[in-house]
Amino acid sequence: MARPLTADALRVAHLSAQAEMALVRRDPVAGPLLAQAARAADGLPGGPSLALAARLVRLPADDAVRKAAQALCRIGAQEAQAAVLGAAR
Amino acid sequence: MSEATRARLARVLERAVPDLAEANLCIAAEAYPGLSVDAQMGRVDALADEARMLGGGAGGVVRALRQAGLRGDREEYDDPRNSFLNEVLDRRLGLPIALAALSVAVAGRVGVPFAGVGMPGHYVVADLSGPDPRYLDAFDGWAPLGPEDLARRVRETAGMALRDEHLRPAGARETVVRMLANLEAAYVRRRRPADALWTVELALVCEPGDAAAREREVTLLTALGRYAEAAAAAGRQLEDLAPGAARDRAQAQVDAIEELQWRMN
Repeated sequence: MARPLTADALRVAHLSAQAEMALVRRDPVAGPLLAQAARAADGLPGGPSLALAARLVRLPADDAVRKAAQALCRIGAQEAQAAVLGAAR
Repeated sequence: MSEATRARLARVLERAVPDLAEANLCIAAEAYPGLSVDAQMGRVDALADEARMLGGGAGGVVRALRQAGLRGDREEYDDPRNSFLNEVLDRRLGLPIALAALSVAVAGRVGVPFAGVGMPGHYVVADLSGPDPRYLDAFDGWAPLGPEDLARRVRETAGMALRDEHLRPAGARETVVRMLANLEAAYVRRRRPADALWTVELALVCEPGDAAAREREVTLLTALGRYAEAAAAAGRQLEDLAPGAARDRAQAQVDAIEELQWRMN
């Protein structure tokens, strides 16, 4: 995984948190937000989790699938935050 | 899922001239577990006998298919049954690609060189028995298609201009993968991920190295909550990747699914 710039990782953490909240609210913007987060995270920590979450939400909605996507968003956000903290050390 | 029909599908595609009817029926056996592929192939053989009785050649093939009442399903285009030859032969309705595959299979039995042509958005048949290919639309009663008709169909179904390469005969593997892609999309639209999954698994039987299909397999297994299998499927990608960024990403996906499994249980 490429060493991220702090700003990139922060942006991923922010977008994935927004996407997770949208999924919790069942807001239709969740899919586009997640797609944006996955694009921003491509090649960065959290990228594979967010890419899988983005693919999941493209499937027809289902509670279990939505919850799995939420969990993947959380994993992606945490990985991005860990990268930010690592860079700040 | 039947390992026997999956192995049979792989064997069919290895042949020099794969039988598209047999390949299609191996797919159908996934959706209809009790289906006898051999018995259904007998129905295709019977159509070929009819084509011979009707004069043989391309004309006999087309007459036999028309006389059987086969036609395109314009009402429920997306119905998965339109993809399976057993259902096509029962209901006399099908998708362009299923009707074209049946045409190629019947023609092959009669010794007439038909080939499938996978144009963008629409699948047609090429009769290669003359000096120049003659194109037929199986979905539209095997209507002959001139250059303008072909261009119109591509424009209307795919929104693009027809190019010469769109008219090249499709290989059997390519045709089977396209059939499976149609089915996968139909099952996803119907919220049937378990059925979508077997279509992807069959696509991987056809093209074991297809990274996009492997990705869809991982996604569908995750959607079905089968996390351990999703992680294993994602892990299979690792075997093909040399150390580097792509392998790191694939490993990170395996880790993410394992983490997901832990969180969801």
